[in-house]
Parts: sequence; C-alpha cells; structure tokens
Amino acid sequence: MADDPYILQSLRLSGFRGYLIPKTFDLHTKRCLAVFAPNGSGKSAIVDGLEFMFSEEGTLERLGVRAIYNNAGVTALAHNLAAEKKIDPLVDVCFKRGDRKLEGSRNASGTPRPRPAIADAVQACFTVNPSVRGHALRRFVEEQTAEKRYEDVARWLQLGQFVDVQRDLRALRLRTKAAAEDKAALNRVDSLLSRKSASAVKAWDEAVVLEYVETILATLDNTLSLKALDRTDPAFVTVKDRASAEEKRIGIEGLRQIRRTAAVLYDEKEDPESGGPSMTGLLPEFAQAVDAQATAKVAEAAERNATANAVFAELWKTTEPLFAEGRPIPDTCPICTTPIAVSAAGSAEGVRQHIAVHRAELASYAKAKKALDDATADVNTVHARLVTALKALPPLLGAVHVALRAELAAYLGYAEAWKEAPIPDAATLKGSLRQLATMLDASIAEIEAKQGEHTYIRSLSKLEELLDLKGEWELAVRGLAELEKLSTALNIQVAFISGEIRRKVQTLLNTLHAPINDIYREIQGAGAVPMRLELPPEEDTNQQRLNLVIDFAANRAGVQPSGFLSDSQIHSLALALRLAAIKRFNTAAPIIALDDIVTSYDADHRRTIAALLAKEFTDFQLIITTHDERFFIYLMDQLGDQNWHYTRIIRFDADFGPRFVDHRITDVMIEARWHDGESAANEMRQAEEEWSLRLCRDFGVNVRIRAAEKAYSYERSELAEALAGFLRGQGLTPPVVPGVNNRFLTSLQQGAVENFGRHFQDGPYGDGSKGDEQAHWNEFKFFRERFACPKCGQTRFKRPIGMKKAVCAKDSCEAQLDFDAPATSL
Amino acid sequence: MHIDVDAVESPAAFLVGLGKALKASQEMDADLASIVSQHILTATPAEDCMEQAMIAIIALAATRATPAKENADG
Repeated sequence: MADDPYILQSLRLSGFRGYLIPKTFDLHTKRCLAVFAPNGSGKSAIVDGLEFMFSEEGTLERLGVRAIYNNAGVTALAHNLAAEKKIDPLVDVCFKRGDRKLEGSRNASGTPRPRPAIADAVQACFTVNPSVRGHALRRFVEEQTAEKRYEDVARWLQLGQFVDVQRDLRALRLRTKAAAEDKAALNRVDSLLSRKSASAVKAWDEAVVLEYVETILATLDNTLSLKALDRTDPAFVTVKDRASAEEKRIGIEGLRQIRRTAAVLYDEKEDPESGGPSMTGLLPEFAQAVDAQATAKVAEAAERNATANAVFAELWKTTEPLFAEGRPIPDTCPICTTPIAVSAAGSAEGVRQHIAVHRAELASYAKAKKALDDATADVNTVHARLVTALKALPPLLGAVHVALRAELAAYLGYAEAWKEAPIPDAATLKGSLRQLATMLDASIAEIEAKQGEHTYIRSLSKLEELLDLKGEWELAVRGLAELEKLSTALNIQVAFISGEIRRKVQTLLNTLHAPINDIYREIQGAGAVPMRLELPPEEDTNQQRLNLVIDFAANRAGVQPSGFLSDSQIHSLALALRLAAIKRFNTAAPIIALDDIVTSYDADHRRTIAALLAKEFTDFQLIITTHDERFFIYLMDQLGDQNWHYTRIIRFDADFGPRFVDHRITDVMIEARWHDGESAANEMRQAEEEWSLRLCRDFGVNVRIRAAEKAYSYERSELAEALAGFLRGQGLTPPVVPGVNNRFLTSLQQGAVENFGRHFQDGPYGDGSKGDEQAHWNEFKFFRERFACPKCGQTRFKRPIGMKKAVCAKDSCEAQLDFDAPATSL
Repeated sequence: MHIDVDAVESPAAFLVGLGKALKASQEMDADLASIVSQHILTATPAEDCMEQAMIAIIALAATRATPAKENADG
C-alpha cells in the first residue's frame, strides 16, 4: 500500500478561472485525459487547477500572490461571477493509492488558502514539477541561468542536500575569511589603551607604549627605564618592589586620612570675615552644646516656678470655652456650683481674665521646656560623635605620636564618664591636635610638590593594566593568525568536498543523459545531436552551475544549444529533459500534465510526440490539453481509448464556463430548472443540439466542411438538415410527433421549433411559460425516443466506413435503424 | 584522495561518508574536519548549522591562540 503510486481519480473545478459552473473530470475508469479546445476556451485552466492544488502559496506561477508588475495576483484565480452567483471558488481532487481514496479541497479565494493534506502528500512525491507548459519549455534551455538549472536538476536528482551543503560551505568559507580579517578585537585594545593613557597612545605600538611608561616613571625616578613591557624587566621589578615598600609606610593618602580624622575632632582655620582663627570640630561643638544645655536648664527652672499651679492647666483649658466672649454666662461655677457673683473673680469677665493669665504662664513654660529638651538631645548627639571620633584617630597615628595617643586616650576616658557639666578641659588636647595638623599639612605639601599624584603603587597599577592590554593584543593577533590558517585549511577542505560532490553529481547526471537523449532522438529522429548536462571545470570555484550543451558537430562539441538548434529542436530538447526527469523521478505520483506542448512542431513531429507518449509513458497518468486538433487526433490514433478519455471544448460561455462536447444536458437538469421556478429554454435548446450532433456523428451524416475558424460550430438547422438527408437516403421516415403541424425534423430544419411562438421568445434566452416549455420538451422526447434500436432498445448507433445503413452500436446486436416500432401517444 | 562514488548511495549517506573521509585524512586539519563533519556534512543538519560551525571555528582559533600554560590553567 505504502509503495502504491498516487493516481488522480477526479478533478473538479468550481468558480475557478473560466469554470463558473462546477465541472468534474472523472478519471475513475479511464485515468488519462486529452482535451482539445480553441485558444481562450478554458483548457489551460485544467492544468491550472492541478498547479494551484499543489502550489505552496495557493496560486499560479504566472499570477503570483499579489497584483504587481505583470502578475494579476490570486484575485484572478476565482471566476469573476463566482461571488455574484454565490459559487465558492474551489478545486477538488480525489486520489487513489492502492485501495484508499483520498480527497482534498482547496479554496481559490480569500486568505489563507491552505493546501489539503492529500495535496501535501502528492506534492512530496513530485521530485520534478509534473506540469509542462509549452510556452515555458524554452526557458530551461535558453533563459534559465546555469545556477538555477543546477538547483533544479540537483533537486530532480534529489541532491537538494548537496545544494544546501555547498551553499553553507560557501558561506562558511566567506565568514571565516571575514573573521580572519576582522580587526575588532585589536580596535578594542586600541580604544582601551587610548582611554587608559589619556589619549597619549591611540594605537598599540610597544615602542610608543614604552615611551609613555617612561613619562610615568620619570615623575618618580628618572633613572627607571623599561626595555620591554614585561614583568621580568628589571625596571618593572624595581617599581614593583618600591610599590610594595610604599604600601608599608604612610603615603600621601594615609596622611590625608589622618588629617581628615583629626579635623573632625579639632581644627583651626582663618575666619574670612574677622581674619582671626575659627575653631571647628567636635571638641568646640561639645563645649557649645553643654553651655547651651546649661542655659536652657536655668530658663526652664524659672518658668517652672512661675507656673507652680500648672496642675490646674487642664481645668483652665476646659473651662476657657465656657466663659468665652459671646457665650451665655453661667450663673454658677460649672464645677463647684458657687454663684459667680460671690466667687473670687466676682464676675464672668473676672473669670475670663484669670484664665488668660494662667494660660500664658503655661505657654512660656512649655517653650522653655522644649528648649531644654532640644539642648539635651544635642548634647547627647555631639557627645556620642565625640566619643567615636576620639576612638577613630589613635589607630591611624604612628609610633612618633605616642604622646598624642595618650592624651586622646585620657580625654576619651573623661568623655565616656561624663554625665553633665562641667566638661573636661580640652585645651591641651586642642594644642596637640593643632600641632599634628600643622605637621601633616607640611608633609602633604612636600609630597605633592615632589611627585604630584604619582606613586609607585599607582604606577605599578598602570603598568599592570598595560601588560594586560599587551596580553589581550597579542592574543587577538594570534587569534587572527589562527583564523587565517583555519580559513586556508577550510578552503582546502571545501575544495575537497566540492570535488567529491561534483563527482557524485556528474555520476548521477550521466544516468540522466541516456533517457534524455533517447526521448530527444524519439522526437527529432536518429540524426538528433546528443546533449549533456555538464558541471563547470573542476578549477571553477562555483560548482553550483550546470551547463546544457550539445555536440553539434566534430568541430562544435559542447556548444550552447540555442546557437545551433532550431526552435522546435530546442523545444524538443527541453521537453525531452523534463519528460525524462519526470519519468525517472516521479514514480510515486506518476502524473504528467502537458499544456499546449506542440505549438512549435510540424505535423510529423506532433505525430512523433503522440507516439512517444504512447510508447514511453503507458504507466503514467497523462492529462493533455491542446489547441492543435491534428495532435489531438494523433493522440487518439496512437493512444487508443482503453485508458484515455478524449473530449473537446466546443465553446466558452462567460456565465457558465467551457462547454464540452460531451457535456450532456440531462432530462433531470431540465426538470430541476422548472422545479426551481426557472425557464429551461436554454437547456432544452442545448439538449436538442447535443442529441442531434451525437446522432449525426453515430450515423456519419454528410455535413459541410466548416470554415477553419468555426471548425466545430454546427447549427441545429444544419444538423437537422444533414440528419433528414441521411434518413431520406436510407428511405426512413421519422414518425409524426403528435401536436406538431409538420414533421418534427422538418420543424428543426426550418427553425420552426426554434422560433415557435408558443414556446420561445426571439431572444436567445426565451421566457415562455413553463407549460409551453414542458409541452415542447415532451414533443422532443417523443421524437427522440423513436431513435432506438428496434431490436435491443439501445439509443447509440454506428455506421462503419463502407456500410450504407446505420446499425445498433452494440456489437452483439447491430440491428439496422428502423422506425417500425409503434409510436406511443403523447 | 577520492572516496568511492556510488550512484545509488543516498545523498545523506554520501555526505556522512565524505565527513568520515575528511576526518581520517592526514592532509586535512583534523579539528576543522570534525567541525565541518559535525555541522555541515551530516544527514540532519541543524537550521543554524552554519552559525554553529562558525562559532566552533572561532572557538578553535581562540584555543589555539591561547598559550599552552593558560590552556592548562583553564
């Protein structure tokens, strides 16, 4: 089952391209289809249906997805009347694989237009595009680039992976080369170097870097000079040793830290306003805070005495509103019920004044109390900071400051034990701190004057940075060198891989040459020049190209076909190439759709191609459309009808679609029209024409050869006349149709039925009454039924060449046509 | 140096064989051949196989550019 090929069982076009009314191509019994049609009548749309069904994006190559440039876009997929007629533009397919039937439908309008699963599965079996369009054949030979041809053929040969590998290798080669030439890492080092040297050195050059190092070391010791930027250089070792020694003694930063810590305790600066010394630091701050606290205590005590009766504060506060101005005055005290008039205040006004005095006394006290609380908090804060600062300084002082350290320790003891004023005397300590500051300022000034900000520690750090940059630079240089080597090695490996792939591809190409040349010879005859597909010369770095060349003559070997072959020969070459590839590779879905492939051939070549298809492609399912009637006839002659269904498009109706010669208007279709309340006049006329044409064909009647541009355009009157002539010649008289004035056939001949007033209007689409139409239809059916085999009742006849009489088409019957059978009344 | 070309051998099998031949060759840079085989000459290359191969090549160059002592130190 899994190995069975996919065979198309039916193709249905609905509202798609020129096919408005759904048309099904049934391939169940005969798998191959040949369609003849004049140009512009809808034959290519059959191949379009297949191309659309299998396309990736749900469109046709010539339409594209969007309307742009020469592409009409997907809008052109749907019939222009599909929306108006409420017909969904669809293509339906049914495939058979083994015993399984697999159906799928694809919408030809809107977005998205997803491909059904069965189309995915079948498409996956198409190594080579199964649709061959006559107009596109030449492109492969003449217009396609060698690169595109290589890609196509490589995919035919299932070598797509080689194309991908070669593409990836080419890209890898280019990127590796680019990486080997990429100076980004070196530029980064230059950028860092420029920043770290304050733009003194902008690009790495060790000699220039060493000159820059000399300028740094010169501020420390102008005898120091590096021969190389290396950690083993004697000058570097000296700098490192001196930096280590510098770390062990107090440097300028250490001195500055001691100075800052001492200043937190005590410092003297010149007051810019008075010119005298201005004292700062925690020692004077503490003294000031303690003084402020003592003052606040005195003030608070004084106010506290003034408000001895402050216990009545709440009472006064509560009572005050009761005696506020403007309120009704109470007659008695609200607390003790003593009449106001006999109280100490004597009156309400007296009570008000009494309360105001005591409330003011209370406000002064509260202010003094707050000032005392603030002063106490300030003292506590400054005291804590002072203790901390006294502890911070001694560890920073060296051995030479042993006396100061003792003083600080003693004062710390006093400070920690201190509870309240007076404070311990700090005059001695302040003096010692003043001396320390003077000494430190002198030392710092001396160092700054000598080496500025430069120290051995800083210089060593700078040298280490430069050494790191040197390491980074050297690593980047070595990395680029290694990449260069790898790039060269990769070129060698890619050349090896490409060479091996080339041999593999050429081996496979050689297997294609024989079948292509066989098919080409089949079409062009024994004298056809051999062709071959050739890869570029081995030394050519771009191996993803493929030349199609021919050996035209001994002195014209390996030449381009377009310069030496005729139009039809090039056409044949392209056709041979495609057919050979399809035959070889599309075995899982052996379907070939050939759309107008014989346009540039003469009659002999058309016959040859028909013979080729019959000989070489019997296992394939062929769908052929052509506007070349001779080719169509050759196909019928060569391919027989066992597996083939031949049909013609006889005309194209814009509001219907292509009308096929075997398109039958059935009785059911006409009944359905009436059932829907519509006129069936058009269908009736069509049915009469179809029946007449079929009968004329069966009988082999004589008709006038048509003008070339209307080869198959028979009129009903002409068919009726030919039929009448044939029957007359046979001595047969069709029976009279009841209710028709003259014989029905004569009516047809004369156009009487066509223009019968009671049936139809003059226009092509009559709107006679339903009753009239039905009456006329019954007359026709009565007449039609007379043309049945008098022996077996079959309605098909034949008249083999040489035979005068028409006989029943059934081989076992072959009774002669006769109208002896009794007529039934209408 | 050539490998045996078999017309019926699948492209994937051919590429894998090609990778093995490349790695085994004394004339080729073995580390680079490993990278090319692993990322490109494989039956199922990753979508970003080229980028992965490029990263591996740059890493190989960096490793080779780093002095032996640093390599040993990690």
